[in-house]
Amino acid sequence: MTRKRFSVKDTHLQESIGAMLQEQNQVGEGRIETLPLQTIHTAEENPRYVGRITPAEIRDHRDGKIDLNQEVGDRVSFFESVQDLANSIARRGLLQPIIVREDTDGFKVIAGERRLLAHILLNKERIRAVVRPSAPEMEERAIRLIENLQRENLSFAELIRGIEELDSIFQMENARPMDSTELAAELHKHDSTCRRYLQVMRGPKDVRQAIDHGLITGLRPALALVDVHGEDERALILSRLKGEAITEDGIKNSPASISPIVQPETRRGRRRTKVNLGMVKNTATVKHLIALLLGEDQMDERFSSLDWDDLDQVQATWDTIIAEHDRSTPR
Amino acid sequence: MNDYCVITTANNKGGVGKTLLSKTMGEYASIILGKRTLLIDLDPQTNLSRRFIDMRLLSDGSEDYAPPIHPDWSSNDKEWDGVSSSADIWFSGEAIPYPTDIKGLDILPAHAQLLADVELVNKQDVYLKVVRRLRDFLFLPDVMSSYDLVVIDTRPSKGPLTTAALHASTHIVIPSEMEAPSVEGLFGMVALRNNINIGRSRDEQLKIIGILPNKLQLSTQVHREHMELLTSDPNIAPYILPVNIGYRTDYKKSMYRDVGSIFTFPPSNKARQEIQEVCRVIFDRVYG
Ligand SMILES: Nc1ncnc2c1ncn2[C@@H]1O[C@H](COP(=O)(O)OP(=O)(O)OP(=O)(O)O)[C@@H](O)[C@H]1O
Ligand SMILES: [Mg+2]
Repeated sequence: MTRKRFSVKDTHLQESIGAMLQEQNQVGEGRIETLPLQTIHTAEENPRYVGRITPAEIRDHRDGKIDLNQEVGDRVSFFESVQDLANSIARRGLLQPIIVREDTDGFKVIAGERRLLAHILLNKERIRAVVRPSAPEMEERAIRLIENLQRENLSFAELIRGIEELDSIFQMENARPMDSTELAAELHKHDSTCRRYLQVMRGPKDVRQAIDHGLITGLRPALALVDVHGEDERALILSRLKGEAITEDGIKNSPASISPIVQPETRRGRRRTKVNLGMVKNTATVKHLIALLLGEDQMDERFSSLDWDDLDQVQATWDTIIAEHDRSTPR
Repeated sequence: MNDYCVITTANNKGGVGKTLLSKTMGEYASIILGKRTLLIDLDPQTNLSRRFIDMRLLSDGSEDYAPPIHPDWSSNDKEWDGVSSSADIWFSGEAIPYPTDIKGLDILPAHAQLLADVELVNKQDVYLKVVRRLRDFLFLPDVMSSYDLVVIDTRPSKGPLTTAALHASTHIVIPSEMEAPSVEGLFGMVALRNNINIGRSRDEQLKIIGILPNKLQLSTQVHREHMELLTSDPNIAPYILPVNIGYRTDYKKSMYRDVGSIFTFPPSNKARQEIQEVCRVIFDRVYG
């Protein structure tokens, strides 16, 4: 089959969007500038500096002075990846400016070494870069933030957000994420606690959301949820525990506790009690138990459209039935 | 008869089943109706793309997805780097759809970072640079003669990409959960569509195929209440489809890359029956 290739070139769009984006300052921190390549140096201590190939070596490669056959695999693939990137930049332009910080002898690359090397390979003179504020300014921000983080009455959500911001400042400075010892030094807390904070902070997005929304208000339940593998499983637990503060126990018991449960809840002084019929592995047992409790007629009416493998929905339906009973049954 | 159609699945609320519905409509059109169908993924999350092709995780630490090398590419091809995505409609101006495992079904996958860049366009440039571009592309004679139908999956926002999709479409279909945030969003969707139609001639009006209740459980009181609210609203009621989708794990299963189309499930499968009927109603409205 011949390839379908469709082209809208030259209809309405004169300049490419890439070029247009260059003029914009949608870059968060810092200002966009087009810097001469020779003013930029790479941070060789950067651990993400894969392959450890220097600008000088790329220059040699460009000028045909390096024989790739003499190189080891890692370095060969690095040279190749820079070449690929250079091809793409030649074609589409540089889409994302590199990020640099002004220092005493020009600019230091914080992110975008490969893009810089690709520019060298392409023999370009300048590169588009976001210039980040100088170190003292960042330090000042970090100090303010740390003072804030040491306040006693901080909510868990505020704490995690603060740590995240601190980490992002740290990353701008150091081009790598903060580790627990470094966080512990800033916050004057235990290293192990800080390790857990970071684990939660860098944990799955949905857990972060639950924290931001105040569903999770402490480190232990947050960690318990981070430990649950699978977004769907976590979503299930969160939805099941909806509306109440989530506890570590609640999470740990949740995935397996598929028996009918009424969540405890105090309402106008009258306490609700949890009825737990025990743990099962087989969904058919749940179906059987519910059928016994409800009778076949009711069962058909309430559960006919239900997918029995979906315990989340079974639970929801059962909850409504229990609630209705609770309301209509005389005490 | 030229019945070329562009259907966009939209709802600015997230997780309401846009991608599930886009996928299923594409499969229904190609497998059941035998239409040459193009899916376009306009969501930087690349969710739809990952259902059909083995997307590549970028190695830059961003955890973003990009399309893999195109199966038709050869290393002799110096004009092209072997990758194409829906973002190319805006960037290089040249887009090369990928075949899927299903006959007659192609996809133009999303490229997380490039699509995100398209969304950064200045407000005043959005219409000219982003919105018109997609329409121009979809109504290229080449595209129109290669496909009978285009289905666009959008991200949950009203940003430039979604706006572009709506402007380029002949039809929209709106999946919605019967819960507060999605239901509230429906009024905005209907209003947005009315605005788009101001700029269109009488026979080019953007049609709402309908609002499709998803994950519906009428035994749940909130769902019942929201259904009642909507069916009693004169601006919304006419759009509510007479069919709906229940909450079923089989829909989740059908979203796994290796499970494939729900139309390969046994005909007795409840989820398949339900969504096949939904697709029948949708395409009856489109072609009827
Ligand atoms: N009727 C249903 N029954 C069970 N699961 C469903 C149903 N509809 C959607 N889902 C699941 O819900 C999740 C969200 O669905 P989907 O990705 O289609 O929504 P979306 O609107 O495209 O989301 P987004 O706004 O993030 O793009 C998916 O995991 C999907 O498998
Ligand atoms: Mg989606």
